[in-house]
Amino acid sequence: MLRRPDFLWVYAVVFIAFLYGPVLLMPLFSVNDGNFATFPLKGFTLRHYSSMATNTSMLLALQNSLKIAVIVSLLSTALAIPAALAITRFRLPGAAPIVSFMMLPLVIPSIVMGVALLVIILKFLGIQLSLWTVAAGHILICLPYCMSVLMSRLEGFDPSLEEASRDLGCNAWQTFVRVTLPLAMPGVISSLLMGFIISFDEFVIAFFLTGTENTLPVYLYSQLRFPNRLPGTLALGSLILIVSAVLVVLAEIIRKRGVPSGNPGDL
Amino acid sequence: MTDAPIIAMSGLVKRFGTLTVLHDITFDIERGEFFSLLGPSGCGKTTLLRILAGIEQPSEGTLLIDGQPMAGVPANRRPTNMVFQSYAIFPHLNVEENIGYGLRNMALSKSEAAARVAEALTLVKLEGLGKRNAHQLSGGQRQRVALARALVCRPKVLLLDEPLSALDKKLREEMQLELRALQRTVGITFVFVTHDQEEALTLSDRIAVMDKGHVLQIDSPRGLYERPESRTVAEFIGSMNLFSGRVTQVDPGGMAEIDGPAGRFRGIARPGLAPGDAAVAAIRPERIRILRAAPADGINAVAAALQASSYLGDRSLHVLVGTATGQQITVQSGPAADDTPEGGAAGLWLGWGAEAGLILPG
Repeated sequence: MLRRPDFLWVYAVVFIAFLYGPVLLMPLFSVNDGNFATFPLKGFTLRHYSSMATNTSMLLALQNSLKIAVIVSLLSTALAIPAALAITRFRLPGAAPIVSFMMLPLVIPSIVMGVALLVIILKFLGIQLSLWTVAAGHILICLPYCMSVLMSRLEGFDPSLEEASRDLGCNAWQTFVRVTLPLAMPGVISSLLMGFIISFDEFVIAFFLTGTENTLPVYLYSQLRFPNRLPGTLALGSLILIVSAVLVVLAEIIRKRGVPSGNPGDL
Repeated sequence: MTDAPIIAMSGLVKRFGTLTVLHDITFDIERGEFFSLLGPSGCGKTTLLRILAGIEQPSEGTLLIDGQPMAGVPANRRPTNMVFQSYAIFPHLNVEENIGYGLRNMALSKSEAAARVAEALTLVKLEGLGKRNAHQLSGGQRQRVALARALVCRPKVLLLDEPLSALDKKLREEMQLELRALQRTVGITFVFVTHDQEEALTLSDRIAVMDKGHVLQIDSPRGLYERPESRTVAEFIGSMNLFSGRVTQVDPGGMAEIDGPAGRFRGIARPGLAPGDAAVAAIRPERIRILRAAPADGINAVAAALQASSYLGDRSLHVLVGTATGQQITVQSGPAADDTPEGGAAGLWLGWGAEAGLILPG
């Protein structure tokens, strides 16, 4: 084997440092015993974390975010399953343009989406802004992620498994419940986690579409105006960072596990 | 009703878009038969099987199974079960659950269902493996599970889509014998799709040879081998030497003569041939004798030179080149044949009796 040139190693290290350095500064300052996020560090403390437990407005925002994230992950996965099935199982006329169209929210800037949704909700539908409108906006941006996770899973298994189920006396619904869903389960779980984490972390659309109640990222942003609360904000951000990372890694592990190989009849 | 065919196909046509994959398929399959659909890949045999199963719908034509019209009857309500080429063993279920899958939609008590699963496990010699997971099974075992899963539903027709093609040669030959014995035991009509002519000859009561969406000939293995009706069937089943020419004479007794670049040939004629038609003389390698001198009448005689011989114990194969046309001719001789040419490889003659050869439209 050839030895990699040294400069590539340097490049890789610098690359990783730029990517993760700023993010890793946040947990560092969150345990710093001082009110300003500057060097030198003044000492180790967990008081920013412990004070979070008594911060009712933050806890309320956390609660709101969790509620929305759960609803969004359930609904967007439920909506994505039939869509992914239709695209992977049937020869649909115009399937390719339909898929690209459904993937559009991935590339539309969320600020454009947020403004557009705001106009639609207030001017055309005349609905009051609330956590529900935030959830609706989040479902819109989660769908393409859920779709692509589910489609890759559904494309992965032998279509004759479903044919065999039909042949053995099951109707379309029984086949879905007894064969398709159990086999797609890793994809479904990964789609649920994806939907949860995207909704939980999302700021722009939540900022535009929320009424009087805050989600956690919106709350976090509102706290940035008060310099003395910065360490608390950093502590909260660190926690979100850790939980998000764990969930994303979990979603990916579950999605990858048990993806069947190309061999017929092989697992 | 019991004498009526179990499957009756009439004018079945299947189109995928503008591509027609099955043309006017009309034939019957009898009760209790081991029937094979044989043809090269892409000939439409699997599509026909999937139409019987109800997985595909015919574009035109009617299909009766056990006297009942099948139009609009979905796969789950047909008296057929299928063994898929990939076996389609459900990976999230164990062997017992796989085999019992089809029983859950039948009104069976738990003990009755369990008894039938156990019976099916015995039938395919998988006793004691009921709790195994699908991924712990070998190829042959998967095949048995797929068979048991289909048979346990007691279908009127069992459909098999190249079930042996994924197995290695030795296992395949074992399974052929078992499959044949199994069919005799259960007495169910088997419709078996294969591209392997040897497999079809070994297993079947009758074979339908298919090519490009048409059924060319339906006959017993012996009938297909000894009386192929067309050049394509003659070439597809076993090996066959062909000599082209034009019909010179058709006898009322069913014999005909052709004249071509390789010589004059006489054989049993396909009905419908007339003098002047393009035709081929077809002769099996084992019916040809190698001679040292030209036969007296000059009919069914080809001058040839030996190119290669291989001794196979129970038989010998000789490859010769026709002197007049340069075409390769295969000859097979028995173990103790004294016509095995030694020394002089050139100046040989090949001959056969008129009753041994066929004259087919070419």
